[in-house]
Amino acid sequence: MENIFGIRHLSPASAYHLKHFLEQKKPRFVLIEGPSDCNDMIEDIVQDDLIPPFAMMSYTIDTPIQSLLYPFANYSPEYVAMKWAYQHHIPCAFMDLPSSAFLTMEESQLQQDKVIDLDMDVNDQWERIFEHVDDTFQFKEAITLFAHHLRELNPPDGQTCLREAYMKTTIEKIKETGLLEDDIVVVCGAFHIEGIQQATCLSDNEYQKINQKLVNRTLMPYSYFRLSSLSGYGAGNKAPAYYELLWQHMLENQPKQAAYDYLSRISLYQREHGYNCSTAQVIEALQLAQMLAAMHQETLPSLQDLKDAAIACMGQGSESQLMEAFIANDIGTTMGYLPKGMSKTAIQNDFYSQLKQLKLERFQTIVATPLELDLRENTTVKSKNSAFLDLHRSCFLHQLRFLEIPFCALLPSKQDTADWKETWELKWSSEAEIILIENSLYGESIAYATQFCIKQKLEQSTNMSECAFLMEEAFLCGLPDSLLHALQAVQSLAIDSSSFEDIVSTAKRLSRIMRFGTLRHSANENIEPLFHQLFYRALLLCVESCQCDDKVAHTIMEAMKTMNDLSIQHDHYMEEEWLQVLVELIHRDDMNPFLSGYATAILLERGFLQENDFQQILTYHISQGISVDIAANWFEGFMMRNHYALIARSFVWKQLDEYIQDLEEQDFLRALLYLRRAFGTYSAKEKHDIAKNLGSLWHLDENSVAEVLNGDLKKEEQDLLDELEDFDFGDF
Amino acid sequence: MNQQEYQRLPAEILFQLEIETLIKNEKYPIPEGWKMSPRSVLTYICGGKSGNMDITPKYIGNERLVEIAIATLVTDRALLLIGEPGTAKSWLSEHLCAAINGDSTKVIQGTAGTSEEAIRYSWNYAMLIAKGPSEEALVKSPLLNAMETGSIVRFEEISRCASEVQDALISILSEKRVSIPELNMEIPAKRGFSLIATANTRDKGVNDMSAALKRRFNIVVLPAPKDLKTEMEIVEQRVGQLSASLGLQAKVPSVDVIERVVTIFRELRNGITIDGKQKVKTTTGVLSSAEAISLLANSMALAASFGDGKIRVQDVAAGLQGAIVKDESKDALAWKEYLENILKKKGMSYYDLYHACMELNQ
Repeated sequence: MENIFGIRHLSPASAYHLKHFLEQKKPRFVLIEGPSDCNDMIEDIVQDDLIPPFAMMSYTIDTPIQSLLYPFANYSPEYVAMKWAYQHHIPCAFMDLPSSAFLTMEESQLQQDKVIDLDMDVNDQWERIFEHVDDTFQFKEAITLFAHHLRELNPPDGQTCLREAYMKTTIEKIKETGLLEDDIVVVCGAFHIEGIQQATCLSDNEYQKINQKLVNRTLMPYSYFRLSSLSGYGAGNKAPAYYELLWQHMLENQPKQAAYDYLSRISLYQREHGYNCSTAQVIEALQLAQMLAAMHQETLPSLQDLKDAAIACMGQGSESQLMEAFIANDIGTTMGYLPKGMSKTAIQNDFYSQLKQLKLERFQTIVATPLELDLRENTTVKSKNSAFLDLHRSCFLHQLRFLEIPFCALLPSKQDTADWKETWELKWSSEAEIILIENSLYGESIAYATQFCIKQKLEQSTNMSECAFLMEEAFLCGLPDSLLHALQAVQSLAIDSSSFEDIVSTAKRLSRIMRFGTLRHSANENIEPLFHQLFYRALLLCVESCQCDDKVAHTIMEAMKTMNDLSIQHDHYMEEEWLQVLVELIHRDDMNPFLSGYATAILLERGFLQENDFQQILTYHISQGISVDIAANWFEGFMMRNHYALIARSFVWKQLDEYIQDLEEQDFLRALLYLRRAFGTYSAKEKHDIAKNLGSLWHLDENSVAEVLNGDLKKEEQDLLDELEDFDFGDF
Repeated sequence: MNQQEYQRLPAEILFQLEIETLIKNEKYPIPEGWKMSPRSVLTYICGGKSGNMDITPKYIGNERLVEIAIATLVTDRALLLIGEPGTAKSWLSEHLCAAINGDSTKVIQGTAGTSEEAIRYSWNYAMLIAKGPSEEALVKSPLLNAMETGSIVRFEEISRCASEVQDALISILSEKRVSIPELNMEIPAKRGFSLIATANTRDKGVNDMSAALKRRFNIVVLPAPKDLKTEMEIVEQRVGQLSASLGLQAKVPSVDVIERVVTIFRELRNGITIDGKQKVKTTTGVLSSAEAISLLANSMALAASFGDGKIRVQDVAAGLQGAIVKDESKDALAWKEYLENILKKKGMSYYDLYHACMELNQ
């Protein structure tokens, strides 16, 4: 078969010569190596308003989703062949195994297929040998020979043989329609030329069997970044932007210009980014690159020659200076574009129409762009929709975030108080599109898919705080139905829940929804009663939970802190009851001392502890009668809250001082660990103030006391402490 | 020239046979002013075959860098080789000149005292007074000579010269001519003229080259050998050549001695052990391959003069001590630490060397 044209995928020279070949041969049918179940997409692909790079994507109907991509750039020979056929009104079809067959094959075989046909390590060699051949006939001969040797070195595996047999069968079937061999041009990876020629056709039965399975398919825009090997993805092509440049100049029959163009672009990039880079340097680099090519007996410099020359002439010998310019010009930020309605999944359509509605289209670039949202009503605009544009945007973005579509990331907000403000970072990538398409299995639109996922997770969840988390997500996504679902789930789980921390964290989420419900227009009257119910339950459980060991004391402390905050935030909700609980905590001896100390600190801070009572409690808790680790632990808890309230009370320090002085040496060592830990949370300034307190207590110069106490530890002291850390007090 | 008399012979005499063979077997076009084609120069430097003769590699390392250097000299650009001390900058520049012109002796040796006259021209003052300004009284610099003959001049350690002196090159390199106003004449450069300068990265900031001057050079940065094997190959080859040319009556050190020295140098230079598992304190010295070479040659000299001609560990240990401990207070500590923490734990093959080194440190 003379009319098999061997190509390398994503190679401008292949595309160029293929085009010439087609023009010479004027075939009546063009067959292309590509999944034969994607034939219906060719019609869309050849449209003029589709801008490459794009990809055909096939994915399984059921979860877990497996997908397969066929990316094309505008210098892909296959794309050029499709366009040519369309322009000359000639039928054109794919002839390879259907994508469904690939998707149902073993995982390992799939992987192999992603690196298509020619070994990618040979890039430079390939460019030197093939990209600069002028003559189409010579090119065809050369690549066929090259593939012959390649095939000798790596004999084809079973899968490849099957593909080749399938392709041969397809060719034969086309011939049966009355076309002569000369009327058909077959375009395939050069590696397959011999395979197709030698393969035996599949029987009708086998052929049918392969075609039975069904998969979903769609077109999607692609990016040069994704196409480049930098993104770590298989069928990469080292420098798509450079190849595009080469392709453009080949089309003008001026392949030489690509070198000039490339180096000028590097120099321009350098100048724009504050480096000194003159036209003279471009000329010198060009000369050097041509010389390097000549040393390899080539007429045109390869990309590697150009880069090495640029480094020597423009980058002062160091690649790092030019790295950014190289990346920008080798790969670039080009993104493909699909005209409206061409994407095959409803969720893609929904996504793009939402982008348009929400005026987010300009963020569809691969450069990360920040977006600040003000969720409040914009009173300067007329329509209701535009008044709440940012709120709608926020809901949309939260939905994408929940679906883990990597289009947006919520940045941490700068002030805690301004909750009407959200800062996002938006960045488009082909990965985002792929995950978007994969989500089409969950629903027709972004919102439906989110609802579905929330519902699914709720059903799987048996933990109340997890459900509360989903409820908050539903709230942020602006999905009242899901919110209600989650609320019901929380309610039903709340009845049986007896974990203090869980209840408090759930109450906290509810509280957030209540407070920002009006801002986000999704208040729900059922939330408040649930919140009250949970808060009360927490009150009842608090005392019991405080009878715990040291391991969980810190978690309980966080929960107590939250309780206290919640009570204050909700108009001092059940304040009296809460304080009652705290008072109980400080007066009972069977509580965890750390938490008891913490409760004291809360009461003191909120001003519900008389100075006399406080002095009495303090004296009681750090007195000789109480075992030293309990006392020290109590004090540690006591110090976890407002530091200034303590620093300001000289009584505290006097008491502590006396206590420590009365301790036996053994006991002192034990207390030391707790106390050091407690003071660890204090800032340098606070420590200084404490030292001053002590100074005045001891009637010494305040500053010099501070200096001695806050100085670095001596080595012996440090060693002593290290020893203590390792010491097991259980032995006493 | 009686070859035995001189301490060190220029490359073109040492490798005369190779150069002649390459010229004889030339198949590719030769640029004007050159003795052989760029490809043959590459073969000469990086090794290969010419006819039936094996060409020894002179520079072991990244061949692509040599290609860039040669291609630079084919265009009319000057070449600047930059690198850490001991990365074969001068070595490469000498061999490039030897292969391209068959003459590596046109050299300007840059120092802090180099004057502009050394770059352009000066006068034979006796003659100047006797006859007045005339061509006989003119003393041409190597650079001027190279321009007249259309060959390559080397400028060693360019960054050691004062910036004013360096700047004399700027207009020469762009206009390719030197004017002599005293004689009302101009000497233009013939085709084939070029300049290879070398500069040290450790000198950075001493007399930094001006941007205008740098612009006139294609810059190639020579890296330190990339792995143990390459470095050993370099050291082994050079020590062999040195011992032959110095007439040392000692045996060439065995592979295993070379390996030990190169390993110690690499570990101290890179601040990490070869297996990448342990951090090592670095010393102030550069510890280049060149130093490893001279250390081994030195040990050979010690062995030949005071021993039985075989290198003993004590000789190597003395050499190591001298090469590594440059700054007594800091390096001695780092070296001792290295001996204790790393070398001692390297097992039996390092045992005797470790002891010999420790003895010197007692």
